[in-house]
Amino acid sequence: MSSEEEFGTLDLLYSKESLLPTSIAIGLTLLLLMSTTLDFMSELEDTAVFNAETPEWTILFDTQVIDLTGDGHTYSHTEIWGDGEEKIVDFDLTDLLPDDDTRIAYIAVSLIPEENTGVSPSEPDVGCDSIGVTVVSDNSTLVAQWDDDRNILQGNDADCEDIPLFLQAYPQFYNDTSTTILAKNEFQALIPWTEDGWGLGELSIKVKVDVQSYAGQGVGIIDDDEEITIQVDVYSFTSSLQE
Amino acid sequence: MVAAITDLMLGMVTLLLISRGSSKTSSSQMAGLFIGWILIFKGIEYLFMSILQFQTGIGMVLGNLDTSDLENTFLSSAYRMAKICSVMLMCFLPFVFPFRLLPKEWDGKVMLGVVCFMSIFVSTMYIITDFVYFNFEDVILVPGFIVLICLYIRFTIGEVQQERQHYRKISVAAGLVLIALHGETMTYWLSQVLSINDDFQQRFFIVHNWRPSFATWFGINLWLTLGSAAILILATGESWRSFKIGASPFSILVFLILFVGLIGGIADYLVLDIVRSCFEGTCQDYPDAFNLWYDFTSTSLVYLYTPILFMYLILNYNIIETQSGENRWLTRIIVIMMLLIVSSVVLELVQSFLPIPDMMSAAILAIIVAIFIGWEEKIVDRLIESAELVTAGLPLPEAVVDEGQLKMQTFHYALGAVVVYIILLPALHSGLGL
Repeated sequence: MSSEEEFGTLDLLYSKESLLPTSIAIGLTLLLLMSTTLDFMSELEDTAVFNAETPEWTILFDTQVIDLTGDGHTYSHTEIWGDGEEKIVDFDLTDLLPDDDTRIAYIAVSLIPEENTGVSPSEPDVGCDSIGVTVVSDNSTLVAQWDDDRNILQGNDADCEDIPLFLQAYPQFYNDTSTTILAKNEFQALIPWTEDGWGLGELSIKVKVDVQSYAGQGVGIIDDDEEITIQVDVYSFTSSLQE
Repeated sequence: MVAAITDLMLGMVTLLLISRGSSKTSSSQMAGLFIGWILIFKGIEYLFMSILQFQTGIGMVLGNLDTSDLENTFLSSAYRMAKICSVMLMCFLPFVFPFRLLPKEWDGKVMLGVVCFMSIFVSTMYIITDFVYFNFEDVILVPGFIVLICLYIRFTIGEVQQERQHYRKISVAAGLVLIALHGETMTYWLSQVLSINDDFQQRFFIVHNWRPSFATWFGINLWLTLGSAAILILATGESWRSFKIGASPFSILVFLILFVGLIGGIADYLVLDIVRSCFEGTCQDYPDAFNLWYDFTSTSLVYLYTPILFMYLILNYNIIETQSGENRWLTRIIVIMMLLIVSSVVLELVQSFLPIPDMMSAAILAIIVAIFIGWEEKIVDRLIESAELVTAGLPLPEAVVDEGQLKMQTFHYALGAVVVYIILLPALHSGLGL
């Protein structure tokens, strides 16, 4: 230590021995910087031109019902309601998608009263029951477009007709077979149609029935309950591109 | 978010410990201030970035500034401005650590003034221009890079040729600061040497529809080049030193990063068709293994290992007074928390590709905690006992070791005002819908 001379500030940065290696190191760094900058600049021009043009892409949709029942429906549930009874029926939609490219578009529900199924000869086509049905949206775990204008979230019927309900799941999906979009490339064009999570969760249908048990003079009281079938059709879609 | 909490916590504790201890030299005091504030600005950057990423995805974080939404505009502006401030501080760190290189009469005031002025000026200019020149600020890292390279080479040669073993701590300190500042880009060295990083850059800009500007591209290329050159210089120096004297833990760290960059470069070359697919046709996703590799290497390095390196510098080079009772207690807490954070993050990363049940990972974490609580005292004691000022034993002029004129409070007030500014300006900017 005692043989060392006191360092000046510049002596800290280089010595006689380190000057050449330091110069070579900084020179090579500069060389690397220049060569890569030239390469970067050519890519910069290509990218600028690429990003300046925005082609129009056609997106094709293939929409179909997820058929779990084997007869064209996702779920079909039949249950008997007593007079004045209100029940909530839940359908699990969390694990329906067959692959990563498929997404849920919308959900259509049909409520079919017994009188309209043609399976109950015991109940004549008189004195239709009054049925009220609602898709439960409060605290629902189902991720969907709950405020969409096309939704039909409740219905009533006393004419023995089916009650249709509708819930839009995927944003901006209007059951078209195709649409067009301006995008830089295929990746960006498909981004609006590759969002995960829509339509997944638990669908809850609340049904209330007032049984029309008096069928008229001479017929009298015919029944005090009602068999109702709830058919849930979950429509899925895949998207593909056509420039 | 873990990185944000880690950086903020370590930054605040560093500043607290510096304020408590009687600082030994102005050089170590200023180094501690710079490191503490770098960690705080990095923490703020990662905090805003993680909130933005959580809300909108990675595209919004890295792409053009989206002014359509008030909250997004604020978050993306604020995180970019925090990044600019941390770069300004990083630029001057090599001028105070390992050595205080500028004249003591004015260095503290000038550096603080330049950092504050440049942080405010550059971030204001960037926000006015919607950040289209973002990343150009990396140019300011060049002087510090040259200083660190000079110090590393000068003291490595001094150690080997003049057999002065006490020079080693200087070259290691310079090397560690280089890794802390340029660690992420060091892992891209082979891709930069092969000049294929521009293809990745092009894909990135196309996917995120980012308007390329010369300034941005040059800044990014410079950033990549400095890291690549740094690791190659360190690896050459360490190879030579290992051949002449023998390998050290620092040599192993350098060779490890070199190896990671080598594998990363080969992996980059293999996915080049996928990288170019965006420009040439349809964008294809990277293989999962490729993403996983970078999660474990470059991403971990920048988010977790950088703060750990800074803390190692602070403890090992006695930047804070760790010997006093209360500081020793706080230091032990920092070490335990750092080890726990790193262990839990590594476990989470492992869980992302190995189907380990939560019960199992919780049990592993509990085992790690038990081991750390048993060993942390030994680890901390060893670190503190072996801690030595970087300038100790060197025949340095007074200008390098003397107390400086700058008061610590001035530093805190000035940079605290910059923090307020980089939060207020984006809030105002997004609020006015500019």
